[in-house]
Amino acid sequence: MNHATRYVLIALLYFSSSALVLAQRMDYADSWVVLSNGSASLVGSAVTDEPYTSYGHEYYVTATLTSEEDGRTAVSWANGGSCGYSNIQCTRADVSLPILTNDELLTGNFFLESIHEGTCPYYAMNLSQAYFGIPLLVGASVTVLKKALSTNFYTKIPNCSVACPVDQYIAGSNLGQFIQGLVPWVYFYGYQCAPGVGIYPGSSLSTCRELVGVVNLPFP
Amino acid sequence: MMKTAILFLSLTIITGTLISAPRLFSLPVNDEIRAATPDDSTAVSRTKRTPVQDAPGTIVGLMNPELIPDRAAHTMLFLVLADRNTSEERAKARAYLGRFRLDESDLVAILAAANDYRRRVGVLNDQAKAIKDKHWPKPAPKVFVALRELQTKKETLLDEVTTSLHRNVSPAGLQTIQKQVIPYVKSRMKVTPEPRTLPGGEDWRPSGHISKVMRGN
Repeated sequence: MNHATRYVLIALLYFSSSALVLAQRMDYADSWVVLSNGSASLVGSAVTDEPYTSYGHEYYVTATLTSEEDGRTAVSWANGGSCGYSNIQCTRADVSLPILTNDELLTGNFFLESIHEGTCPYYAMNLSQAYFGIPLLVGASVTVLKKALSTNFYTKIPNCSVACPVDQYIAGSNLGQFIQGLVPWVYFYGYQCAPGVGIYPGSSLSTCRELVGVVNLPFP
Repeated sequence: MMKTAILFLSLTIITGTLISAPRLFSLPVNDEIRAATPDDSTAVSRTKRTPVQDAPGTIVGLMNPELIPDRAAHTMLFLVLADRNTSEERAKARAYLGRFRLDESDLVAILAAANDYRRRVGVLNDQAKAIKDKHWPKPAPKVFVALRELQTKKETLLDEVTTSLHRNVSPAGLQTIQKQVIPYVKSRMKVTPEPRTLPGGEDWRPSGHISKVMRGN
């Protein structure tokens, strides 16, 4: 069997029942906020997966997360694929940048970029790239909550409209008459509110609002 | 003989692609994700920074989520959540799902399903690797039969894990998965058809960028 005939037969076998199985490469990129113990990070993840029936590629994923406010960048590179050098079918690159520390809220415009590349090392040929360029607006909603009498049960004050509100909060101790609940969010075709809330002191002058940009903490 | 073979191959591939994705050729190829900010007055005009064109026939989930198969979305959901074993990584996985306001038990069930899928598919991955290691770069046609069988097993496994997950979550959790999580995952995906040509054809280009990236490591 000559070279050309071999590949014609391979192609016939490859595509003959392609309606039955996933014979397409899949790429994914996403970003979300992780809030933990009063600190928060914006994380990104970029994934590639391919069918076993591909001719045989190695995949490489590069993910880059950049803060356009202060120029911070996180880059991650991952390899995998099924072209012979790795037993990892899936390729995933993860990146992360802090957006909330004890001292600062570091939100604003971010950009998640991922490049998904495939190669066939036997022929030193590359496949078309898949590219994601995702502009993200990152901020935080501040909800003002007021303490109920003789309890540590706090509820959102009236006329408080924010993207990611905190309706109520049960404190372990008396935190004063007013507190502020901070919930980071990511906006890209809709708000994605981070699960969890950071609690800060408040006062009768505190207002519900959105914070975007670099904000020194504790905020008023 | 070679030209005839290539012509036949092209026709075969076009036919196969049409069978697998009838709407593929009517899709707009959109490689630009427009900036979307909550308030136009503060909108920052940002588009992609690197001019990389999607391959012809690429399905962009942000534009056409209905064309992304559920299987593909479940696969990506599991792969993005699985194998996060440190406390920091587990927090990332939990935060990923936490956006959808799932109950704790439902959240735990999804993470368990993701890890179950990743563990079990690893067995099939190893088999695929062994086959390719043995037969590449000149696989006989029967090798593709074996790989296709493995691919079918992989998808059967995915279906099993997905079905099991749907049984293990609450009705509200199931609704959240189907109505929110999976559509969301689709909106963050692209599905690219396999190359229409063999290495050396128009869907391939000489490597150089890859090696550049590799040198960076």
